[in-house]
Amino acid sequence: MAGCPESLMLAWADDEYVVGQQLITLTGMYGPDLEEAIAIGSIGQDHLGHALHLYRLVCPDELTVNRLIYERETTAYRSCHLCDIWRPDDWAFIVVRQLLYDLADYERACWAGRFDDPWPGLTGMMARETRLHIEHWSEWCRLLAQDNYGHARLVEAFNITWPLAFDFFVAPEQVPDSWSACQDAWVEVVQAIFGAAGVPIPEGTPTAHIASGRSGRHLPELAHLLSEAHAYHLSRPAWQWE
Amino acid sequence: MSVNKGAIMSALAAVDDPELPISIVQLGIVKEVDIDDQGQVHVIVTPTFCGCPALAVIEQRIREAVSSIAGVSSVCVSWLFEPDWDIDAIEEEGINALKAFGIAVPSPTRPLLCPYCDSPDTVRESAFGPTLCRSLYYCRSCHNPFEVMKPLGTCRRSAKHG
Repeated sequence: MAGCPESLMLAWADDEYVVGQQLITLTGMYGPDLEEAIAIGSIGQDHLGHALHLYRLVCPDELTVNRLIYERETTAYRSCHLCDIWRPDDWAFIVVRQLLYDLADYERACWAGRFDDPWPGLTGMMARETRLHIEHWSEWCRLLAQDNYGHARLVEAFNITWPLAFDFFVAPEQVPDSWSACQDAWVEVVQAIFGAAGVPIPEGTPTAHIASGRSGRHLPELAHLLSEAHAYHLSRPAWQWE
Repeated sequence: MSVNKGAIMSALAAVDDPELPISIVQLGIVKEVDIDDQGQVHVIVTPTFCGCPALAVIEQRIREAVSSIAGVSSVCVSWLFEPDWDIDAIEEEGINALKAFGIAVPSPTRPLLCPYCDSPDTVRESAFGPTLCRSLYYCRSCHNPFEVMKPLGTCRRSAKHG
């Protein structure tokens, strides 16, 4: 099989970068307990590590990687709306968003394993790290579902996130049709996990009301995140992200 | 001048992992060393985790350790993701050094024991520890918290997408 389309690798890298940066902003200041603060830091580090490897695959050198990360307009990012949306003060939201994203990310890594080029083994490594995240967020989902208040928060977070989640599966350019299998596999596993937590899952695919993040249309949260990263880059222009 | 492979392996055996009290050889991340006629050395290593922040430091330490060896003209370090690293790659000597530091290495053939008192009565407190490759545990017998190297074999990708 031929190489993975660059459009998919860039969208993937942007998803991982955005999610990783969002989680890292919580490190040391948020988490129900110290262990959770450590877990958030580790998981964020995984996402950023994946992003960096993927950026390197689409860029000829480190300088270009840095420019790609810090010097693009918001509309040049290809992250999906599931990654753009961010509510740092809502633990149930974080659990639900992370679980929906990691489940989708896992399906993507499995699907992309069909391309040998340009990453022998990388998708397999990313998938196994994502499984650790899934295990973690699934456990939190079960915990939250254990009482009425937690369950209500879970349902509320799910209802906010679910309509945006399908933007993940909007195919970047030149991605083969078999990509749609990822969405089917994801829906099945989401139904199993959230169904077990008593979260009602609407029938069918929600209609998107705005153009996809994959074509550069983003939710306001992304501009906020990027402005902070860009301001940091301007204050330390010689620093390389590694 | 030809380069002695043994000298390179000894130099690598003295390169410490930046986050663990063992060498990169004991950790089992050095996969291959190639030397050509011109004295160019190629070291192939595998990361424990993709996002390990120590990768750049490890790369630099390998270059420093190998480039000073007689006959070496250049050092190239590359990262290989397949076959992936897992805790079964850690050498016996590394397992013992980790135990002395308070980090247990689980194995499918022996029960997980507390590194301080060897009790099997332990509980996992969190899958995520101070580095990506470690988890947090607690010993119910001697009441010490300790760490465990994270096994990854069970997390490998399923084959359902072919």
